[in-house]
Parts: sequence; structure tokens; C-alpha cells
Amino acid sequence: MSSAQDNKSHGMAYRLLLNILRFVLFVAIFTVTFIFIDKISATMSRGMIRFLRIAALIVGGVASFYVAPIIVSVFDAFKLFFTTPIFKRRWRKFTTLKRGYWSFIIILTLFVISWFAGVLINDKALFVSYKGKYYFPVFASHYNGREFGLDSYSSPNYRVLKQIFNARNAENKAALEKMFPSKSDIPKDLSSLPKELADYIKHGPDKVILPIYPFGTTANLMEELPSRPPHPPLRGEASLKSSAWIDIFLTEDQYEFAEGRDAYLDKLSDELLAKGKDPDVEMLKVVRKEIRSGNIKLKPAVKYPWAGLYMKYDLFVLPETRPTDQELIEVFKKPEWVGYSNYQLYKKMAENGMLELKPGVEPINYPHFLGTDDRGRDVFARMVYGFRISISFSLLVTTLCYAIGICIGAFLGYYGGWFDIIMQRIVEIWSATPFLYTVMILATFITPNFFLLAIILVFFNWISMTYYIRAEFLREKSKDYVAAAKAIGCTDFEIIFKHILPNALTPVISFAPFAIVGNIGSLVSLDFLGFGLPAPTPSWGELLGQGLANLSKPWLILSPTLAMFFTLLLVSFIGEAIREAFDPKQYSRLR
Amino acid sequence: MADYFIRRLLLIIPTFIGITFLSFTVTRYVPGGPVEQAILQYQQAQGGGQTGEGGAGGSSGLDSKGEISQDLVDELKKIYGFDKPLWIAYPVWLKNVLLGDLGNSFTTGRPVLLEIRERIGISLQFGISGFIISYLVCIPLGIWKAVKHNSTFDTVTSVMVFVAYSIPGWVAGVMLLMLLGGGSFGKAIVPLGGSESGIIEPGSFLYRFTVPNVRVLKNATPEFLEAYPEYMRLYELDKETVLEKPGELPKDATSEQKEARRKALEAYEAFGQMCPLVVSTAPSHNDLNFIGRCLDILWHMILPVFCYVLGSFAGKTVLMKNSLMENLGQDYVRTAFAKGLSEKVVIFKHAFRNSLIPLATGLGHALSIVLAGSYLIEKVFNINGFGLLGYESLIGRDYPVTLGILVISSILALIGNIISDFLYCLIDPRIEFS
Repeated sequence: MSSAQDNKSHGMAYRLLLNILRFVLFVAIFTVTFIFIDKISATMSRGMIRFLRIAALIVGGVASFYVAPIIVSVFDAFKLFFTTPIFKRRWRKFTTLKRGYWSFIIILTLFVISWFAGVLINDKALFVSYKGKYYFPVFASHYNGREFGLDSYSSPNYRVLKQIFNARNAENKAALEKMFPSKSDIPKDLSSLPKELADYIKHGPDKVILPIYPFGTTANLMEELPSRPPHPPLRGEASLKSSAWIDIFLTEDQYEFAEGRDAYLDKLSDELLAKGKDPDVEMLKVVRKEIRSGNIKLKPAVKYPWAGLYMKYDLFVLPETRPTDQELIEVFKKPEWVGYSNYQLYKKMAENGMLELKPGVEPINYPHFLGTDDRGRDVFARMVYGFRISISFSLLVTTLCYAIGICIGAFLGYYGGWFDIIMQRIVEIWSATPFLYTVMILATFITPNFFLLAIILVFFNWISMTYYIRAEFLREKSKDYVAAAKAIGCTDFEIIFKHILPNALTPVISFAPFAIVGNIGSLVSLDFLGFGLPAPTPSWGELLGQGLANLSKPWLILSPTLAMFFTLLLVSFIGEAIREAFDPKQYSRLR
Repeated sequence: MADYFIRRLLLIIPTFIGITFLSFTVTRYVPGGPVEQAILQYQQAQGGGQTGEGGAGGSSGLDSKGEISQDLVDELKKIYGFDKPLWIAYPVWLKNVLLGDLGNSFTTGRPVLLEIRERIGISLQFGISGFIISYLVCIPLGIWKAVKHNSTFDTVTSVMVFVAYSIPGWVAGVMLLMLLGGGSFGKAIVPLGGSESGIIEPGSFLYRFTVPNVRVLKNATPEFLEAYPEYMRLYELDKETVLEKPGELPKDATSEQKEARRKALEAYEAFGQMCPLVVSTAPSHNDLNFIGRCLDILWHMILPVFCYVLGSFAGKTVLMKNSLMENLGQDYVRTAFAKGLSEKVVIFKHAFRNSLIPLATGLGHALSIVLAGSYLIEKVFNINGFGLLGYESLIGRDYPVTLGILVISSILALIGNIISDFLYCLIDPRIEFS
């Protein structure tokens, strides 16, 4: 199996590539094992750690030296497989199977689009121009608020930043028009003007360009939305009006009841009892109906939940003089506001809709297609990023499983004998360990990130691949072309990877979509149980877990369930079509 | 053939050792184990106490720097069985396992085997009924699909199969809980989880099956049953209150009351602590008559069992259909038709029997699949079974339970493999293993 010598017939470029691959592989193995050792080293003695590190170096070195040519050969085998006329014929057959073909196109398109999710769905602005400087926050790691003239060092809320800029631009524009009624009046020398205005004339209006859907996966939207999360999936006030899912018995008072909420509910309950109905069931229905028909009104403070946020950035027109105490009591009927400080009072007034927004400022009324989750994060954004992560994760796991499973299965099938028997034992150990449980055991010890979790899953999943390949090799190796290859002096390595492997790939290729379905399922289950990707990562399984804890919030359950359902449905349509195209079973029957 | 199976049985031994050795090693060498957690707890507890005393160490197990002394660490290691190196500890553990002793749980202190035995019944109740129903549904459906291949019925059921394949059973479970559990829409049609009702509301359909005024306290000692009602009577306690530890004496308590309280306290110490939820008159599962209990259990089984069935529905139906289709294309079926047998006879007497082979071999794995696939469904429906026990033991780093569950499920899987092969031979005598 000494492969390095076998490839003398290849050119310089090939050998160079091979060695680069060896190096990359070595670095990869080395890094992963070192991270792993680091993570588990807490209870080990120093000598043990040193020993493990040296062992990792040696194993990594040897493995990458021998594994690299195998990878190249497997890659070649796939290339050969995909360029044969027979594959082209199968592909044509596949394209005629409409359901599978279109599923393939849809999934591919969605997956490609999801890679651009960063510029389509993000809470960072695409582009900010501030005082003549240009920023591209989507592509930068972090800009702090100071760079855009705010007070904080944290990353600015770009949706609010846009409103701040709008207000400032409108102010400057008005001031400019007042000072210089026609454009030609503006002097060349700006130094006599106030700095704000000079900047405005020099650089034009400041700008924020937001992505189409300006919400991210991790930002908390509680400041902008009414009451407590999770919020139902509709726009602003409409979501509260059609409050089929808002449990008014549990959340804080959002509605105006003439005689107080509790008194109203008591009265309603008595009325229902008198009619012989079960108040537990009927009361909520009656209340919802009343809210929808407008008999019970929303409290104004609920209509402007973002008033506090806008007050912070001074986006409301404040009255020139504070309303007198007399006015507060007699006109506004709010005696409790009398003792408030100016800021508190204006905030209250803003929340109750008594203050105007500054010119140019728009109220917050962004749609949340799918509502928010229990930490007030936008569900739609998390679903989209979750799709990207799920698909990439399962593709990665499937690819790695195939790579390992194909190589080991090939050797098992080709050599057989003792090697096969010993490996069969190991395979049996692997397959008898309860898979999900063992992954959970591992995941409790090392908090896995994307790649580590993928490696853990690969560690348990590659086995099923070896079965397919081994069986194919057992069948293929007795065929004439293998004997012919042996007769002309091909090495085992060449026979395995150049001659047999391209012929043995059909079953594994047609199995691939089902493997992908399985891996998406595994990731979702692990996330659901809390042993998957670490916390802020958007994931379908985590959302399902939240849904189970909040059964009265259907959007938390329906969104991930339907997303998962349609994804898996499309992938399994593809799988069915591939099997039909690659492995047609003609059933003929007499009757 | 006998040789083959004897060899297979013997090969279980190294495989079993391999699996358990791997997991045993993992539980020993990874951080965050019970010893570290105990040390952490100890440090926190001592840290709180020490601020008052001004840092007196020594006897409390902390040395002058406020770190845990080596003696204490050694003692903790001994308690949790971490004092011996792996190559001594593993054989000891293995010997105990072979003698049927899986150790004691770190969290409850009870034998692991007992914990598992208590929980496994519930898992089997759900798993096996799901398993049987899935066969009862999938086999007829598969046959019908094969017979009516390419008909409208076939297309419609194919859509069903795809839907079932694309939605894992437990995910469907979460969704059905939301739809039918009464949280979001309408009235509760199904219970929200568990395996029996805790409290039966007067509006529930089960209420008419309650047995009035009969309180059977399972496990209660006679002393307890005697002391508590007396205590309640003398203190004029409402029968509806859930009894907890007897409260403080009022100042003007009579000697009779004092005596009753003392007895109740004794009874509580002896029994009530273990089982603190004692007497309440809101009816629960135990207050139902036989029919009521059966209905209650069935009511709790509907959704979980549906989810089990959904999980294997697609695979089994398609397997049945394809295998029957394949057999229907065989020569012997043609011969049967040629000699003038009716379609019914050909399908059911000839082809059907042969096409059951791949499904029947799956029976070997039934038990291990039932247990292995139950984490998610048990978590979703909050069923106190084997899977949930495993999940909880992992969360709580309860290694003896974790390893015990691993031992049991891997033995079941290994034996399942052999049973599968054995069934294969039994059903299809053409198969030769060697």
C-alpha cells in the first residue's frame, strides 16, 4: 500500500498538490487533536498530556502522509464516476423525473441564497455614510457607537441609527433652508457656519442602508416590542389586536377595562356561569372577541412600546414648557405623573402618544414574519440561518462519513481475511453503542462547536457507509476486469481506487440524500435535547425546545416544524428520484 | 449453523468489553465529573461559612490558602470510586456488573438496577404497543399498496409515506401537543404528558370513574396511616390540604394534640420524608376504578404511541411494499398463476409469506430500538421511562446510571443482532451462515 511510490507516473504538479494536501491535512489533524486534548486535559497529569500530544503529532503525521494519496484517489474515482457516459444517461433520466429534479433545484437555490443571508437578513447595516466616511458594518466585525456619534461603545442598533440620521438630516435641511433660501446663497467658505451644518453641506446627508430584513439572529428586540416575549407573528398593533394567542390572564395589563381587569373578568365569569357555560373555556373566547371588535381597547402605552428607545436618542419633539401640575391632573387625568422628573414625564407622554416624532423619523413598525422567540429574538432570521447551518452541517458530516466509510469499506471488502474479521468486531462495537446516547455523553464533556460536533457525529456515522462499500467490493472483486487489472501488474492500491471504486459508487450515491436527511434529524434532536451547538447559534432544535416549553405560542413550534418538514421532504424527493434514475427496479408482474 | 451462533454468542464478550471499556474510560478522564462537582459545592459551602469565622482552616478540610486539602480530595475520590487507577477500577466494575451489581446512583443513592427496573416497564409499555401497532398498520398497507401499484390509492398513500418520512416522530409529537393539548387552540383533547393523570378535574371525562372516599396510600406504613388522620382531626385540618411536615405547636395545645403531633412527626420522619406528597382529596389516577385506570392509561398513550408508529411507518410500509412487489415478479408466482390459482391465494399463500422475511428479521432489534429511540419521545411527553432516566443521568453526571443504561442497551443491541440472524435462518432455510 505504499502509495507515494505508486504515483511516479504522475507529473510534478500532481506531486506538488499531493504534498500540499498532506501538509494541510497534517495541520488540520494536529489542530483538532490539540484542541481536543486541551479540552479534556483538566484531570490529567502533565506527563499524560505530553504523551498524548506527541502521540497526536506522530499519528497525525503518519496518517496525513498515507491518507492524502487515498483522498486524491477517491476524488479521482468520483471524477471518473461523474464523467462516464452511463452517469450522463442517469443524469438525463434524473432531470426527467420532475418532482425530484425541481426539489433539487429548489433546495440548491435556497441553499445558495442562504449563503447570502448575511446581506439580506441582518441587524447590521449594509452601508453607513457618516460625515463623509463610509462604513460597511455587514462585512466588519464590530463598529462601536462612538464612530457614529453615539455615546456607547457597544454596537449600535442600526435601525435606530437610521432614524437618528433621518432626524438630524431633516433638522439640518430645515436650518439650511431657513438660513439660505436659495441654493446659490450657500457660501464657499463654511468656517463661519456651525460645525453640524458645515458637515451637512460638505458631505451631504448621513445615510444608513439596511438589509431587506433588518433583524439578526442574536439581538434582543424587547425594547422595540410590546409586553414580554415571545411576540406573535404580525405587525405592530395588528399583532396585539388579533391577539388570538396573547394570554391576557398572564401578561401584564395591556388593555383598558372600564372597571379594572379583575372586576371585569369576575363579572364575565359570573355571567357565563349564569348561562351554564364553563368560564375556564369560554371566558378567553369572549375576551378575544371583544378585543377584536374593539370594545376593549389597547392601552396607549402598548401602542408605542418603543417610546423609551426613541427617547434615549432624543427623537421626540419635546414640549417647550413642562405641563403644569394642574394640567396633568385636569387635562391629562394623570395625577400620578405630577412628581415625575422631566425625562420620566416626557417618556410617559411619549408612550401614551402625546408627543410627536421629530420630522423625518418613522415609527417602528417592522414586520416580524414569524414573531419572536422567548428571548425576544426574531424567529424568521433564526429560521433562515438555522437552515444554512442544518444543511451545511449535514453536508459536512455526510461528506466526511463517505470519505472515511468508503476508504475503510474498500479495504475491508478487498482484502477480507483477518483484517476484515478484526474490523468487523470494531464495527460491531461501534454499531452496538447506542448512537444518540453516546453522542450525548461526549457532548456533556466537551462543549461542541460546529466542527467538533460534526466530528463527533462522523465518529459514529461512518460505519453504515462501510457496509455498502464492503458489499459492493465483495461482489466486484471477483469480476473479470479486476483479474485483468491484476494480470497487467496493477498494484492493489490502483485496483481498489482506480478500477473497482468507480464501479462501486452507485449504491452510496443513491443513499446520500437519505444520509443527509438522517444527519439533519440528528442535529435537530441534539439541539432539542441541549447537547448540540452552543447557545446563541440559531437552530431549529433549540426553537422546538422553546416551543415545547411554550405550548400556547404556536409560531415557536410551527416555524421549525414546517421548515424541517419541507426541507426533509424536498431532500427525500431528490433521494427517491436519484434512486429511480440510478438503480431502477423494474417490477413486472403477471395477472 | 450451531457453530456459527455459538461463535457469535462468544464474540459478544469482547464486543461488550470494548463498548464498556470505552465509555468507562470516557467517564473517568473527562472534566466536570462528580468529584469536581462535589469539591466545587464544598468550596462554595465552606466559603460562605468561612467569612464569618475569619478563615479558620484545618479541621474543615481547607488548608491555610483556602484550597481543598489533599486528604479531602482523596476521600471524595474514594466515595465516588475514583481512587484507583483505570486498570484496577475497570475490572472491579466489570466483575460487579457480571454479578449483577451496577452500583448505586450518585443522586438518589439507590441501586442502579432498581432505578432501571422501575423505569423500563413504562418505556416498554409505550414502546411495545407502538411497535405492535406499527406492524398492524404497515403490513396491510404495504400489501395493499403493492397489489394496487400505480393506482390512486398507491399515490395517495405514497404522499403519506413521504410526509411521515419527513417529519420525525418526536417533532410531530411537539406539534400535536400544541394542536390538541389545549394550549393554543380550543379545549384539551389529549393530556400534556406523563403516563397517568396527577389530578382529575371535575370536568374531565374520567371523573365519573373515580371511587369516592377511598384513599389507598400505597407504600404507607400502618403507623403513618394511624398517626396522620388523628393529627388532622385534632388540629381540625382541612382534608383537602396536602400534608407536609407537621407544623409548630400552637401555645394553647392540649396534651392530646401534643401527643398526636409527636406521633405524626415520628411517622413523618419514618415515612413521609420519602414520600412527602401524602394526603389530598383531589382525585388522581389511584382513585379511579379499574375501567377508569385503563381509560386513563390509554388516554395518555394515544399521542406517544402515535409518534412511535410515525417514526417507523415510512420505512416499514415501503419495505413491505417493495418486498412484495419483488416477490410478485418472481417465477414461482407466475407458476402459481399458471396453474390457475386465484389472485388472493397467490398473493397471501405464496408471495406474502416470502415477502415477510425482511420485516420479520427486524423483530430481533425490536427491544433495543424501542429503548434506544425513546429519549426524544419520552422527553417530549415527559414520560418517566428508561430514556428520560438516561437523559437525566447525563445532565446530572450520574455516572453509575449512565453506564448502567449503556450496559443494558448495548447488551440488548448485541443480542438483538444475533436474534435477527437467527430469525433469518429460521424463516428462510436457504440462508447459510458460516
